[in-house]
Amino acid sequence: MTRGNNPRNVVTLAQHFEESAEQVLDNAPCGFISTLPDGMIVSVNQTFLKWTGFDRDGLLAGRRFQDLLTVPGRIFYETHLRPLLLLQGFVNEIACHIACDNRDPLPVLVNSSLKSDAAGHPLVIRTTVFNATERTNYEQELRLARQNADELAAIVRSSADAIFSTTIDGIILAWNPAAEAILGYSVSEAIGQHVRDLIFPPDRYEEFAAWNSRVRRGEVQHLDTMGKRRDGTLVDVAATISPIRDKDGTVSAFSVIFHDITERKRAALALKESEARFRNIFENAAVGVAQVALDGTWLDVNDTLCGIVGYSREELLRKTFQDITHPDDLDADLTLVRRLLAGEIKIFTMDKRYIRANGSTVWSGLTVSLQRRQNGEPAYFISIIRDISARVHATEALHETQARLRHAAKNAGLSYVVIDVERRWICASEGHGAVMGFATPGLVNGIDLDRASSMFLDRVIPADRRRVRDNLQQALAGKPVASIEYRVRDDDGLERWIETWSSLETSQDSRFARIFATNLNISERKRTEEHMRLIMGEINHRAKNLLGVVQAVAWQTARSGDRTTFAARLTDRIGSLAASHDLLVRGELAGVEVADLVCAQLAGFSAAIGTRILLDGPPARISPAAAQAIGMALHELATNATKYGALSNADGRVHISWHISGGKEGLFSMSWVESGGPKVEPPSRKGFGRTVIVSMVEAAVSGRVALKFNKSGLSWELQSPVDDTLETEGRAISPASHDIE
Amino acid sequence: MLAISCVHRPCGGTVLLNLGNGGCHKLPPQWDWAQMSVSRRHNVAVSGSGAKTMLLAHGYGCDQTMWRFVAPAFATDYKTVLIDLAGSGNSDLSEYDHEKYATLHGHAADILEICDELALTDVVFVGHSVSAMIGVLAANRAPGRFSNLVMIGPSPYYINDGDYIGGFTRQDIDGLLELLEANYFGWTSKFAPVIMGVPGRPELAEELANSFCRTDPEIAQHFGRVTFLSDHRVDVKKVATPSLILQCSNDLIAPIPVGEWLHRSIPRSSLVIMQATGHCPHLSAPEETIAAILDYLK
Repeated sequence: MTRGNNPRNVVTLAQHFEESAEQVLDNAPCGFISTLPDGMIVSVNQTFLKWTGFDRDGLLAGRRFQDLLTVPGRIFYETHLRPLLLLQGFVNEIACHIACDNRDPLPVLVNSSLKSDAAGHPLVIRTTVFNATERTNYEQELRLARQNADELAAIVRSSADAIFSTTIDGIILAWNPAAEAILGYSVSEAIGQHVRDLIFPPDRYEEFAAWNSRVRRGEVQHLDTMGKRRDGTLVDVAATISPIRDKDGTVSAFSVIFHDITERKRAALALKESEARFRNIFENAAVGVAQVALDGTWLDVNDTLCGIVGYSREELLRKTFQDITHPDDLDADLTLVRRLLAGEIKIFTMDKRYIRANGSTVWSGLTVSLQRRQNGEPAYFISIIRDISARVHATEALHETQARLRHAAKNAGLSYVVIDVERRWICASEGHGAVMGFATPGLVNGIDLDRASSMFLDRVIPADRRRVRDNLQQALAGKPVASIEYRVRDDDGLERWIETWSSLETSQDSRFARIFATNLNISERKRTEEHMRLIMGEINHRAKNLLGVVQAVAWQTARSGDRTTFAARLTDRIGSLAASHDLLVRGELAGVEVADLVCAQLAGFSAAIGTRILLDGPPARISPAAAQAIGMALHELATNATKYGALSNADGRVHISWHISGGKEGLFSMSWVESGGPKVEPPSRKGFGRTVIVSMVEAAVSGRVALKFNKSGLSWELQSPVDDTLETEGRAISPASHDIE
Repeated sequence: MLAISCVHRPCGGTVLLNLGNGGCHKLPPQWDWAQMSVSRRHNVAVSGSGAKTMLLAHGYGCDQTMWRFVAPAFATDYKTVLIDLAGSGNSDLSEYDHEKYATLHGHAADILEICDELALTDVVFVGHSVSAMIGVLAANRAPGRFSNLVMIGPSPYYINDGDYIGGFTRQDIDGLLELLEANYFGWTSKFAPVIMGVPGRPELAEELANSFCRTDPEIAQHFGRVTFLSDHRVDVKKVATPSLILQCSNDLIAPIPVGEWLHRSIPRSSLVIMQATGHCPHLSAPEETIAAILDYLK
């Protein structure tokens, strides 16, 4: 052990040393403390006591320096400060706090040095304490500022925008990673270079000069410009150049931010192209297109619309759609608009009229939708307007044509059917049912062809059905067909004759497309034709009979009389035949009234009828064959009466009567009774006259004739079955007629 | 030849390293030392020629320099191995893995790794302060590796906890961490140049230029938090290795009750209360420290 290690000696020495300096240092602007190596305080100056509030004697009574520190300070002292002091002999500016007596801890900076003896053993520690209140505050601010600066630097570093700064002369001072990425120059390549030379295209130098001078004056510049990359390519940027001012407010540097707007430019260009495209569509649309405000004002209109309504664009944009809408269509339009605004409908379409600039009316097809804002509020209408005048006129003309056709068909008793072969669809005119006598459900508006065909063929009577079906199938196969007549059963169960003409329509591409079939009810014509045919047969038959009769009459006349009167007698008899025939033809060969027959045969005595010749009988129509025979008999009776009987003198009378007994199954009776004539002598021989009045009549009507030669006069009575004699009611002419032969 | 990955960013590939000439195809190469040598990572310094081995680990806030007054004394009997803990002194700071070193177990694993690489056996582990606990953890994991533990100023837990007197409150420790921030605030930019610029002491400046309790402020804070908040009272009771507890008089960091608690808790332990005061007897009283250790190891 050396003396130096004796604590007491050290204190003495130290005290001696300090005493010599005490007067100088006691009030120095820092604290002085001397301690033994273990920290025991041996000396302290007035300044330290003043700062800390400690009592000198208390400190010198065995307190160690480290005991004066706050607990964290003590730990730091032991783990950092003391090892350092022992290792290197001093420590400088260690920050810690003195735990003052009854005061807040005092932040201090501690400098200590270790004085050792010649052998290197520690003797004394001299410690200088600086009041660090101000400095601590400053450091805290600085720490905060540095933290802010670090954060700011981190933002600049991580920014996607190029950020750099330059001197006011344009020399680059700082250059962030995004600047490197966007412009291609590394930090070392950029810093120190002139910003104009480095990143401005030559054609932007003037622009650079302009903003440079403005920013020098302190203005912040925002502009879209172009930067030149290291590889010479250009990049679109939104630039912000701001002045950086020094303490006295002078602009000393510029900060520049380049935001890469390549994408934005591309998007803007794409948008512009898209807008131009849509504008083009809008302007050149074949339909009128308009943007219409909610109050109905035209906001934008295309030329086509101007053409439709006849206003210029300028005129139209000063109007509302209400102004030019036909008054009769306005309410319907506004109702739809209200529903559109209420969200009840998304779109509406209507045909309406506009009043054109020249006062004429134009029909248009209007389609309107509502454009809404992002918040759902209605923004404006989009209207599409087509000129449909031609369509409307065509439709009207078509309706007119159709009406005419309908009337014509109706008046003509025609109906028509259109068969769409490709679509297997059939429809018919309105009068079709009336013509056919039956209606096919749905046919007027069109029904399936197969169903309609089946219903139709069912109505065709079986005998004609095959023929009709063949005709139909031929037509459906596109082959030309002749007109066809056939019978159908109508709703009353009666047969009806129909004639159908079919024509084939081909479409524009020459494909067979439609069948147009016209139908006519020909029942009446058919009946007439049948009637005529029967009459022709009857006439043929009669003519042959008549010729036979004439032949017989001629022969008998020639045989029974002298030659000189032959011609007169024959003429007379043939005249009787002709009279009956006239009657028959007038009665359309459907029989003659008995009275008419009598009058016709007694034509030469017409003045006597009603006086000397009495007719008495009900209306009765004698069949043609009976009329011929009875007529000839009456003629013969009249001839005889004129020559020999009641009509040969001035007073004789003839009573002609007929009646029908027992109805249809009954008897027809007719009598010719003469009175007041000359005395009657029965004829010596039976001539042709008797054959005419007896045999021919009996044969014709299957009857019996009683001929009596009474004194008062001749009596002729015929009785025959009604059925064989008269035309019974409703009886049509039958092809099977009675044959005289 | 060793296959390692080149951490040189533009290269990044796996290259074959010839330890003889070194170098990758891009210069300067930055080798991933972790895959190469734990000794390099911890700035291991081996000296002495003794048959036995003594591994000395520094405490919190310093580095292997703090052994400069005592290590030479052991060099005749021991091969002395000095290390810098991860994050301290001249250790490879780039290897400081916050997750690994979130507890002292990470440091204990480093100690065992160094022993493996240098093939150390029968080691006398001398640990100051926090390293005493690192030694406890290492010895518990590999008891066969260590013959003795020498603990200088040890504390298993610094915070008072019921009957246990650690010496501090949680607020004290939080205050320390704030103080560290205040002191390290200007450390790199200000303290070091001042220290290195001491006129007339070139040898010191040279030494300091390499390493003198210098560290990264952020690591210092992290290590400080781990050191002063770790509780290893349970681990201490498992120690089977014969141990010496060197307890200073008037140690603010590890007061005498802590030394006594440790002595009670570690089965095969000796407690020596030293004349020396403070927390660093190997600096303030190297002779007494050397004597106490040699006396124990005899």
